[in-house]
Amino acid sequence: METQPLAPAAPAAHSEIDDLGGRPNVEITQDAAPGVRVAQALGWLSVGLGLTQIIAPRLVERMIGVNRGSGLLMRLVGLRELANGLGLLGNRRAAAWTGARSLGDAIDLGLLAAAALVPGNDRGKLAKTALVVLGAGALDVWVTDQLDGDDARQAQVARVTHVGKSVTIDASPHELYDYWRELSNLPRFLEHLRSVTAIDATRSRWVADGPQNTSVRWEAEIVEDKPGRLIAWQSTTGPFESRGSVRFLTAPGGRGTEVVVDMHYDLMGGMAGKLVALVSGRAPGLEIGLGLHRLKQIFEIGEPMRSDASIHPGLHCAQPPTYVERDDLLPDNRLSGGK
Amino acid sequence: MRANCWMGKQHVEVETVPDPSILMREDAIIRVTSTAICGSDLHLFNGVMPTMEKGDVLGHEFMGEVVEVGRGVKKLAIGDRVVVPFPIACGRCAQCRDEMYSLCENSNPNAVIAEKVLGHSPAGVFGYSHMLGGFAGGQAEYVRVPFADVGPLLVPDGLTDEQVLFLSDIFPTGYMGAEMCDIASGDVIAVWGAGPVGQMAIASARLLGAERIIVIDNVPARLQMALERAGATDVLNFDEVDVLEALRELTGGRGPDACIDCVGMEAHGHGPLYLLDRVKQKLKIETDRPTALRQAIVACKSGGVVSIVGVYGGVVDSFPIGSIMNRSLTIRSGQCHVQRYMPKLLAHIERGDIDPSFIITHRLGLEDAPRGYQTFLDDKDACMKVVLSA
Repeated sequence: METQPLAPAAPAAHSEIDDLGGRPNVEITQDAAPGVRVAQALGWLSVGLGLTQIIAPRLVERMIGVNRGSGLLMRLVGLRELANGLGLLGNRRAAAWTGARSLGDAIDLGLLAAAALVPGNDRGKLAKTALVVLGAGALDVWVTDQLDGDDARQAQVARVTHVGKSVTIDASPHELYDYWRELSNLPRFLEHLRSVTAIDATRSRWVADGPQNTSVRWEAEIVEDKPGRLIAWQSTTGPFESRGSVRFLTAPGGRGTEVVVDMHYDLMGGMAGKLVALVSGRAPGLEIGLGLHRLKQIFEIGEPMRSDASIHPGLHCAQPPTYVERDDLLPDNRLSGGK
Repeated sequence: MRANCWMGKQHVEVETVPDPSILMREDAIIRVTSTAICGSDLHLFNGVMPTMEKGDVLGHEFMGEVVEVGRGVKKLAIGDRVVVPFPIACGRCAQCRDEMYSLCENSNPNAVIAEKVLGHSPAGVFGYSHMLGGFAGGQAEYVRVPFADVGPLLVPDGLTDEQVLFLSDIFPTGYMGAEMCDIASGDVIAVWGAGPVGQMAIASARLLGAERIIVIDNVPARLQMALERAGATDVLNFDEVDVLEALRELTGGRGPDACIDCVGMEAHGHGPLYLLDRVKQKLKIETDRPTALRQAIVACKSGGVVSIVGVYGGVVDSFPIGSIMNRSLTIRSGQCHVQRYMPKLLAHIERGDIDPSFIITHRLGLEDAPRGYQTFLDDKDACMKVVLSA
């Protein structure tokens, strides 16, 4: 499979959850392919080696058999190693970085050969070092090959944040589907959303809280819609790419409906999106977890649960608010005490 | 209004804060006439309970008069005199329908925090950390009470505040601790902790028909009260005797049929393991000191029940799981499902089977709350229960 950007969404991902006979496979992004794991390990190795070369170049030189070095060349090699390691750990285009490592290995072998010609250096140690570099080089080539191959998708997946949350609600799948499908209801329980407006049957315009009272806007379209069972959507514009689905499964034992949300955010597709999440303190997983609890409260107790602290934005001590304007909460005739 | 606020470790202050208002349709506002300081408030006072914020209004044992109700309140009316259970429960989720009110699935708006710490979230609780909802508590002139038709219990005329106040927490908590022991006639029950909940557990074990009730503590006045007022038959001072040996001796080598832990996360004890726990708790690598619980487990009869109503917040070390597993022990525990027990226990009080007010040693005004906390913490010999009145 070719490495390609996830957006504008892979329909294949949705067809996986198309047949709802049982539970769909949940994509676990932490479980990367072997190539990705080795690439990560190599990344850390490079960082460690690079730092050592930069901090103690003479020590490393003596270890590999170079007795006549000034340390400058070793520092430069260390810088390259460090950059390479950070690149690998950053996990952007890991194949390119392991490729670069292979090239570095070739250069190192050349340098070792040159060092062997300088009188006074320890040829035995240099030869052993060359063997180690050859081994590392072979590993780099293998990993590059792995990442370029079928597992490239896994490397891609590692760039995507997956959030999966679920809640059991005492209501029928159809009731919950209908409520969710009326997209303007979403801000009632996903409180970081300011509004969701339908443009036509499938497309909608979303406005959410951004950092420092700004707002973030994007458009999305529904890519799959099975009444009473599933809604799947993806963003079409906006600062970050996301796709998601909500499934409504009948809970065992007459316990209502299991509402299962899966969201995927491509953070690298827009660093801005990650920044938004970080700066506004609203990790997507937290918002969705909170939102599903609120959805349950709306269905089971008629409104979202409020405490003295929770009605304030941000961190606040548990003291009553100074002023609450919610006339609909009070009885028509307050003197009668609501009876 | 005036309210007792948590200001930091071992620091509470009575402050002027905004009056509560109706935030949800089924809320009521209560004018507090009596409120108590709970042993579990001392865990907050000592700063061992996570997710407290400076300024939090404390208090989860309170009662008073309804002064305002929301649009959705049907049973309760302005002027009603009620005692309020400490867990906030919606009354209609799956857990509430099973009468597991302290596990209400809807009453904790900060459920996601509790899920991180505990796995799943229990119910919201008045004045008891943000993990449990961030609700302002009842050590105040007024308090907002959600789900007014579910929790608050109408107090019949003729009963004083002091007689019914402890229906809010400690009487049902002690009762549940005893009920979880499946007491049969002839049973020997051991109770760790002779504080207020311990006294209630002893009295409840007696109501439920236990033959012998052995209580373990190191405060002579509390042990004396357990014997003279609550109905204990034997007392063990852990400063003076080896508790495990004494319990074996008192039970013909069998061990108590059931053990109730009314101590919780800040237990006191002796020996190197206890000292290690103190160090670990200080270093925050162990949140709870399970000295009493370990002893209760090891002491319990093979096949017996260990009932935990003392409050724990996080994790413990050196837990004697081998003793539990190899000897078929049953562990039962929980924050009390107060709403489940209130009517039954009110009936006991009305019939005169018990008057829980025997534990009250200090009666103070709300403004004296800080002194009440300090006295409760420092002077265990003289102070059993502090009640604050309006």
